[in-house]
Amino acid sequence: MICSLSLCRRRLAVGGLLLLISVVSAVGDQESAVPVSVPALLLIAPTDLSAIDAQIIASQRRLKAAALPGPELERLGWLYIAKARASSDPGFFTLAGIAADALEKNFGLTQEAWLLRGHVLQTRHRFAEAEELARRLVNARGTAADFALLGDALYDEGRIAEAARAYQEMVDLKPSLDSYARAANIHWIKGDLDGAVQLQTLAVRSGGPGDAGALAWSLCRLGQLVWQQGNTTEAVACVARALELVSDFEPALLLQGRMFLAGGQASEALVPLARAVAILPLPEPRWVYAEALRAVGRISEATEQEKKLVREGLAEDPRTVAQFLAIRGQDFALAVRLAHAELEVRTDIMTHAVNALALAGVGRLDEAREQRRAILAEGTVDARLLLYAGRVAVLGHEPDAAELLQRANRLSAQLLPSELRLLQESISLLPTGAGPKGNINQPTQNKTS
Amino acid sequence: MNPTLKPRKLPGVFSRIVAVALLTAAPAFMLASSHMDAPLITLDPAANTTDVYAFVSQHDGVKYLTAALSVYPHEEPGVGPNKYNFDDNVRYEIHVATGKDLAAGRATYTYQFDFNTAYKNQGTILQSYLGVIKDVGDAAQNLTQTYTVKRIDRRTRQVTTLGSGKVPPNNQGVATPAYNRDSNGDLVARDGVADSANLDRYTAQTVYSLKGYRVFAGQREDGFYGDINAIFDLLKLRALSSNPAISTSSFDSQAGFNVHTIVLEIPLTAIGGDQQVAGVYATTSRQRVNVLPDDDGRGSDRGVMFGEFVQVGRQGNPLFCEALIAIKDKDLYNRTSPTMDSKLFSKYASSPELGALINSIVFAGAGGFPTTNRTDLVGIFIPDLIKVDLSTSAARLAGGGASHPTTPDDAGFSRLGIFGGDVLMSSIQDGFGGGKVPGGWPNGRRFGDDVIDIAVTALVNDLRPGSFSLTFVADGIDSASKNDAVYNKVFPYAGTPFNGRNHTHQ
Repeated sequence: MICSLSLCRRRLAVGGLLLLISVVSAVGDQESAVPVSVPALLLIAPTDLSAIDAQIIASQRRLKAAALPGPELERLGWLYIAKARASSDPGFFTLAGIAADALEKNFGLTQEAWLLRGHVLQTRHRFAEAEELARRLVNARGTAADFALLGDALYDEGRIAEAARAYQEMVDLKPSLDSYARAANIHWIKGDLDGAVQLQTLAVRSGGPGDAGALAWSLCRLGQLVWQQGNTTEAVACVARALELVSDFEPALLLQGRMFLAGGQASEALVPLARAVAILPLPEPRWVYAEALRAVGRISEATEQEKKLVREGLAEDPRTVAQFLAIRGQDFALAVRLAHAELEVRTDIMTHAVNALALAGVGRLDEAREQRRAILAEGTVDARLLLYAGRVAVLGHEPDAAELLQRANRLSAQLLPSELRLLQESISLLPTGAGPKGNINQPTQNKTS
Repeated sequence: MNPTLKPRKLPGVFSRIVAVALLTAAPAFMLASSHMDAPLITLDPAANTTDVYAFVSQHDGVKYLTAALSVYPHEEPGVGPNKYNFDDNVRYEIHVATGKDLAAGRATYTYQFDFNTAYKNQGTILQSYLGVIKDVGDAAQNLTQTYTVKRIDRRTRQVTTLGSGKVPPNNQGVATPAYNRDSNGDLVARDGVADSANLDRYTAQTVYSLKGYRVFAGQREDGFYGDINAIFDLLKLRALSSNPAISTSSFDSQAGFNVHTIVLEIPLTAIGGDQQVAGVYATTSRQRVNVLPDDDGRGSDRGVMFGEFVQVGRQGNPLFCEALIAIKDKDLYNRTSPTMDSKLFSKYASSPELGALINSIVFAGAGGFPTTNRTDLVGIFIPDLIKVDLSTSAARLAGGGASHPTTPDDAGFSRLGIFGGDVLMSSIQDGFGGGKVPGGWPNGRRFGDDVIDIAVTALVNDLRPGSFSLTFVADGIDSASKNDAVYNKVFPYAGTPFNGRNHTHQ
């Protein structure tokens, strides 16, 4: 029977309200307790004041009082990922990993844990493990994020064709910043720079200020690509916008420093690079900073940075240490060892390139030649890759040495000063008349404002 | 582990110390030379639907179905204007289902909006405004967006271009004075109006009549209101706080934020007349691309190919995806058609977790309302289209409240819809007896409907035929009982966008 609304309708009585208040108060008294199943480390409040930190604090508060903490713990795990990206602090990836472990062990949220853990493993360069988790996820549910994780692991293992297939599944499911950015990278690695710029631009336009870290990353990547196209103005604008979104965003500072350095503005480069090293004292920013210090004549400081680069970089990023040593012509034996060990972790193009360069440095040209094949296999157009391939070719008297070095020379704005010296030295080894025209040591692009 | 350990704040560097202690190696992400470190799960605000509206409207004696789609959740008015625009790469669509398509969840007609952005001057850093804008699209407006509207008849596949329009500028302040009181860019945005002649200049200039339709697309204030914070904060509803300072306060999570809204007034003659119930939902889509460059092996034809549009967002009734569908299925909801709702999402309406939580947390298990077999909720949400009885008279409209001096609510309007006595008379269904149907959601959805109070009321009562029992109206349950801005009672109905220079959040 449908009752008349005017007769049935009744507002909550005062007594009922008091009952509800007492119920809510009892729940509130438990607010300060921590669920036993949530690791305490995840509940230490951050002290920064960014929007992400506010979200982390809110999530921690909800987690403490949640009747069902699992979904909130998952949310917190991804907030730690976002914080890690925005702050360049890898410690937050660790916290995300702890969240993933708790999700699986304490709450049985297995697939959710796999995705979170897989992303953390990927950032730690444990690509085979990340791939395994990704495959489990793809088989179990096959979301866009699952295919992304699979593609990322395969990409870093050097299995580009398989990675591209995974990424295609991803973009077919959900075209978005995440999938467009990955498609852009495949286009880049296949030598389609214009296509990469087009897709990365699409990625940037698909983002919003609510994902400041992700958008800042996308802008930096776009900046790198348009810089490679020779459009410094646009690259500078990308960096500026990234820093507007996330102040002290390390990738933006690094790119800014590199562009200043390439534009002959070494003094200007020092500021962002010093900041980048302060935020993230890893081999790559240290290397670029050292190059800028050398360029302005601050040799002892440069040497200090280089020593730290090698000393501390052995554990943090051995491949970049190997790359540095091989470029500088220092301790090729160590460079070979480090680069070879990296092949156990991944077999991507840059790892092959560093191996090739290091092996060539110790005269193991047959092995270097073998590694060189992988550098050019995908058709990637990149100054460093072309330089390393060209170096190996010229030392081995290969017929394509001149062409490779010529192509590297056209992109020489992307090279660090020490790489430019290696390029010049390699060109000098070419048969007479085979070298590129023009002076390779002069910056070929506009100043970076 | 101590279960009563209280959290403590630590210096930011502590996290790094802990991380180093716990790890053997933690290489940070770098640009692509190190490893693939693209983001994994991001928001997509330009394609992220916030609300869909649908209601019977009338002007000049003719009835229409007015439908609206809003995107860009929490659009901050103060952020640089180039950051909030409709996305040229997103296809925005409003779908109408009629006849047998309604029950199937299938669109009969689709109205497609495609946007295009142009700049008058690319040689300047002033992206949106070169000066004070007098008229939409004048020389002072640098970034200008236009759009085309197409109507697709899904049965015949006929595509008709209805026309095109311009998007008015975002309300920045000094550059866009006409949006604001006294045409002063330092003052707050104007209230909504009850007469089209009083619409602000920019809005008035961008209401277009296209082949019997009216259309608008642009920035608006977010007409949704509710204490979302409290709802997702374990239902710690302010009304139920023991602290009078809290229990008597109101909090609208959306206060002071804008959205971007498309509003379309559809002549009923275009969709089969008024003797029917129609369903409305909206989608956003982005294009597939080829991940591998198109390579025919000869080094030519390399590049990006754009494929078909893939749905990335969908919305029908308010709160279904946000409050009822589990996290693991939200993505699935967003990319599927309502035709799949019965198979995939019926359980969320039939046994809503939110109902169980309200019963447990708010009523300590003594709510006395069913939390399973909710056929009444299935009737509303499955398929997830806003069902609008077109046979009624025009819906009563919200303005700025019953006693607003210039734009009062229509007489008889209640934000609680039928639970506040706001009913309409249908000529095609018995409804709640004698043809009475709700004057607001879930019979359509108007600007100003208090969808949270209505939804909670529906959840905590048994509204199933045969066991109907309405014992509790959740009036003010979330303490947000009115919008923070005045709606327009004329097309485009959504309120004036907040001023980037002068606005407040709660």
